[in-house]
Amino acid sequence: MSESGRGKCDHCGLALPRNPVSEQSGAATLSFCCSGCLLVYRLIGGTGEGARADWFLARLGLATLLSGNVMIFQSLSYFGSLDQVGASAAETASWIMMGCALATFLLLGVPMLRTAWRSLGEGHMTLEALIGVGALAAIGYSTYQTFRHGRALYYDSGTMLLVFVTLGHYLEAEARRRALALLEPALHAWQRTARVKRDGGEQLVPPDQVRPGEYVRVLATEEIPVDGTVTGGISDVSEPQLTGEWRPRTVTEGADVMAGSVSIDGAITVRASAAGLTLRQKVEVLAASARQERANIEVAAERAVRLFVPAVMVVAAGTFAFFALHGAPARGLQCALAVLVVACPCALGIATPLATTIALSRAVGNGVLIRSGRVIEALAGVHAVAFDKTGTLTASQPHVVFGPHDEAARLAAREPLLAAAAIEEGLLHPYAIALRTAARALAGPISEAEQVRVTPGSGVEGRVDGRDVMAGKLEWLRARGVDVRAADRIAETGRPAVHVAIQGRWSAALPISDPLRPEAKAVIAELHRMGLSCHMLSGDESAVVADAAHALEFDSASGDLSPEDKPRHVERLRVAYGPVAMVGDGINDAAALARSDAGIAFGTAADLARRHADVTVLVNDLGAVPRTLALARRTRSVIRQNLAWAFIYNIVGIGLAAVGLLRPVIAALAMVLSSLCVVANSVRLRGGSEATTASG
Amino acid sequence: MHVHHLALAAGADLPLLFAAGFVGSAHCIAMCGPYVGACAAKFAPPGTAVGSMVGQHVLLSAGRLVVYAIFGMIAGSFGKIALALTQSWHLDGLVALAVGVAMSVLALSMIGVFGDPTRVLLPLGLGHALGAARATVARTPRMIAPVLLGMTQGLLPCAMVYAATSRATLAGSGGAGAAMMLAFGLGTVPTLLALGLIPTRWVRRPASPRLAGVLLLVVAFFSMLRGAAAFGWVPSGPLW
Repeated sequence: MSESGRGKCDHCGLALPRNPVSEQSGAATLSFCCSGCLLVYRLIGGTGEGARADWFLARLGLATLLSGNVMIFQSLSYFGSLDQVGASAAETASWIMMGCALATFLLLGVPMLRTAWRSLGEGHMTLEALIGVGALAAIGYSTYQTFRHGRALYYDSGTMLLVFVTLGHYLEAEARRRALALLEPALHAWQRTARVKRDGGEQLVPPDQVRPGEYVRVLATEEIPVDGTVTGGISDVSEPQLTGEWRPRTVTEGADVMAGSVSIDGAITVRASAAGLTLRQKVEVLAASARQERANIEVAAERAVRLFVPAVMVVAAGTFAFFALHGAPARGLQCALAVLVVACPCALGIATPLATTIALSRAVGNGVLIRSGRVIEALAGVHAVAFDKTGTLTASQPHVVFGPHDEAARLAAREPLLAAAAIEEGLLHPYAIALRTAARALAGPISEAEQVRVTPGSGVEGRVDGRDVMAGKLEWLRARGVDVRAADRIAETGRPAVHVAIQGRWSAALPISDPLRPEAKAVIAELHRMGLSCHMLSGDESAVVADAAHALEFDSASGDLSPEDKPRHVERLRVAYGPVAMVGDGINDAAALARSDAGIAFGTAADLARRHADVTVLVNDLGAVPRTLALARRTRSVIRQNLAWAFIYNIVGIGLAAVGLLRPVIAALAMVLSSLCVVANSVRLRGGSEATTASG
Repeated sequence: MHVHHLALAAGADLPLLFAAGFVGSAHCIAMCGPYVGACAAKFAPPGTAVGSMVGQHVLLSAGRLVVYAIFGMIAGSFGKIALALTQSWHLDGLVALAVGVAMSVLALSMIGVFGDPTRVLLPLGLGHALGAARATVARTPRMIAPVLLGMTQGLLPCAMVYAATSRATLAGSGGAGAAMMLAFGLGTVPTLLALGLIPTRWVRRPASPRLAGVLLLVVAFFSMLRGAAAFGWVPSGPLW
């Protein structure tokens, strides 16, 4: 190929080599003769990538490289290779290690000490302080040795300590950043605008800029952007994601509405209540509180570290004193240093947070938000799972469902159903959708309706094939003069239904209910396989609940429960079986969720901000419950292994070091290996699967 | 001692490195020119007196040479240990052979046979570090800024610098390595000092890095010969 055919460098203009360095910039591919040109091109603002001075990562990379060099020379010196070739080479190696170690300390140790100093000012001693001081001691002592031409060098202990701990911090930050990034779409979907009445007109503003007391207009089919009170208009609002109630609620003047619900069929005016945080801010506040809320096991580990540190200091001082009194202060110093190095609570410090963080981010990947490490611990310990029925075991998608003994009613309802479906055509009300789905299933002819009129919150009327058809609430039909005496018996049962009147006469009640989710049975079977007992707690009629529980093979079921009854039942289950997880949805289960050991709520990010559920499931899949419980169990066992390992290693290591059987170099190597074991064990949580057959 | 012969036999290498630096620096101008220009605007705004301008370019080159010398010192120190180790294992020529191979790869990439091997450094966060350094330079006093900027420039990944640094591994000590890199670096100074005076079209001649590559290839060849001679595969010569 000719030279001109290969083109020129996009930065310096020189001819490109056969295999140029290339970078994608938008649609164009840029080619550079060397990586230097690419870097400079980025630096002077070509693509801006280099401008984001991610100094942290650069420092970590550089420090890793430097400590790698220290490690190589230290192992050469440890195996005696350097001494074989003469004092001069060993001396040079010592200076090189000093340079690398001091640079590493500047890059990672100084920022760590600065953090530690700040928290010391706030009155608490952190792990950073120990690690910074430990690294400083190891590197400082070695530097002193280098200047004295001594050979007791522990540069590698110091640098590896810094690199590992910083790497741990980086992984943690990265996992959190990813978790928040996964939340982003859910939050983004919430960035709506509000029609605010201002300055005599209407303005479109972001919901978080609505001031309390301002009036917001919400049109039919729009989402309500703020919490507030209805001051005008009437509409059915749909709020299954907020309350778990699948039946639309009719709101008029004086009713409270929540941001996130949808005004289905009418326009309303809402007076905004307290100016809330934006959802985004709420989630962030919550995330921050989650970080502060620590698992019991984590607290215990931390407390142990707090006792452990002074204990180690005492052992180290004692070791030095012992050898010094026996006339070997240099050896005493070495042994004391070995104690300090081997005892560095590195593995102990990362054992729990690393596993927890990985598990939390893994859960987010499954569409599940777990509030904190404490919740993981609670989830891992449950013995029983209680389910709410409506909206949890069912899908919150109303269907027209006749009972098994209503065959006659079903046949009689065929004609009214087709007529009602005709006038409901094109409406977004959940009941309208249910009627249309049922009518289509009948495969009957759905005629064109004329003169359709919607009365928000009440019903629909129109003309179908020359007949007046009305579909809606029984009271509305009665108010419009329809003879509804035949319907009263059905209405008494209290079960929701759409009543249909043809030519001014009541003709049928179409029962609406919420069928069980298709995956429910497999999920319950999976939970049984995991050794958990399953219980149904529902506000529905006992007979209906018993049928559902029988179909899904629940261990027990209780119906006719009021919201106040549910927490009592949760308490009863706890006494009988042990820790209970409550799976519910919406705020009507809030009390039961709070009373349980781990509350699992199905819902949206909105719920998360609103209700502080322990676990919020964002995916529409019951399989998330066994998956999350399995993940929690795996996490708990990994944490236990980590802590057991770290403690055993420390106790054995300190013992050996104190009696002078462990050289500081070996101590440092052991410390690094121990940390690596903990990291590798925790990273296992990333892979593997929460084996379950019940995924949707 | 044999190791001394290996270490001190700079032979024709010093002038060759100087020449490679001189010829290759045309590429430096094309590559670093825009970077220097972008940063220089901070401390040498348009209209600065010529004398002051030249002074600043001297400081700029000084900063770069300091970094090269540090590279040389590190390479020389590492090399000293590597040479001693290989000697104790009776593999005297190993380091010289390895240096020859590494230099050949780098030199051939300058000639255009391979893609730039220094691209492996790109994901290491070098760009981030350089970006941060540039931000620091912008806040530095006028006298120090050019030196810092020159040091940053010296850190840019460059096959030519790495080839010369590889050779410095054989220098025998940190000091000798630094001296060797200074010789190379001084070769680049005249062109870079004349930065404002040279018409761009002269600079953009593709021959420049190629010729430098050929010179470095010769140094690489000498280095390999030196290694081979140490193993007794070829006789020792005056230049190796």
